[in-house]
Amino acid sequence: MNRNLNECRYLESFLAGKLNSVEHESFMSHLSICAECWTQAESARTLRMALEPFSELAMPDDADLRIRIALDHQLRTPLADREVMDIEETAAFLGITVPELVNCLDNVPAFEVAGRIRFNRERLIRWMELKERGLFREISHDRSLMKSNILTFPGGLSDEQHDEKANSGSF
Amino acid sequence: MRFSDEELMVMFAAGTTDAFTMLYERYRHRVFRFAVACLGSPADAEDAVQDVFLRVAGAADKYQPADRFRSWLFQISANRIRDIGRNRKRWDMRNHSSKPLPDPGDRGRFEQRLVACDTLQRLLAGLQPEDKILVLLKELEGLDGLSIAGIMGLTPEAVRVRLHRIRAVLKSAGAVNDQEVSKSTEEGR
Ligand SMILES: [Zn+2]
Repeated sequence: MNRNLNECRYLESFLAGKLNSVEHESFMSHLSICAECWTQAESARTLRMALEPFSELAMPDDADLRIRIALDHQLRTPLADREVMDIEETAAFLGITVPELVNCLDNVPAFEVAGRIRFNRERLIRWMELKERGLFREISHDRSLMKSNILTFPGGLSDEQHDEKANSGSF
Repeated sequence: MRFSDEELMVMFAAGTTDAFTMLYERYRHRVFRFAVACLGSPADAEDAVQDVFLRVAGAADKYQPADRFRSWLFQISANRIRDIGRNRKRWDMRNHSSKPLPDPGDRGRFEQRLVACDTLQRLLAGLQPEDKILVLLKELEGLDGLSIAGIMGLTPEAVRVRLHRIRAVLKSAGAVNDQEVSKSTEEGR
């Protein structure tokens, strides 16, 4: 039994083809009496046969080209100029954390490709501009309320208030 | 003169983009094969290759020259494959990608690939994703126990024990496959 167990230790070396001819011969005879090692060797053989067609498997040329373009783009383009960004890059771009971005995904323009969320930088910028304008409208609305209060006070308008009046038609 | 992987990675980190292209050319097919074997879908594998090399390019400053590039690359590959597998929940070949091929001349080779994928996926069907990754690092990529241990975050002894268990599972899967093959051959007569 001890001899058997000792021989079992050579299984990995046998499978890796690292036994010399004498050891190999000895292990082959061990295989005929050790069911455990035989199962292991047979299983490895089955898997290697199934993997044989993979040894010459090459990535298709169209995929290779696509990946080269993507890599080239990344290598040449700093993050700030990248058109399509993943969730981490977008969070960094917006100056928020990934969980914060995930929480407001319903509001942020995003698209799904191959099961993953991606963001188009240009669309994000347009979206930010719209949000900015909305916010500005709210602020200027508050300010005009304040102004109307100011205007009830006696006295002339300051320069700033003149400008504000002149521009008020644009909103 | 042939630079080692590690030298190329250091050159790339220092700003030589050609060094990265050389690494990509050395490893693209190997990462692709590994990803196809793990994920069972050539289209998913193409995405994985793109993702892996984009990550490698993005993480060049985190690469430690003392680390073997190949182990580092396959650690990143295993991580991306886990993500893709989790996201798409199709670790087997039952959902073939219907992505059309641009070049009809490629179709024959593509069909062959699918058959090979299918056979392999049936054999590996009983394995957990982590075990699939482990056994493919061993048998497809030919990495030794120590490298696999590093990639998988296991001890070499744990790798050995798991390989043993995986082979036991595969043996029974192989036997079932053989029975199916002989049954379908008989039915075909
Ligand atoms: Zn034995």
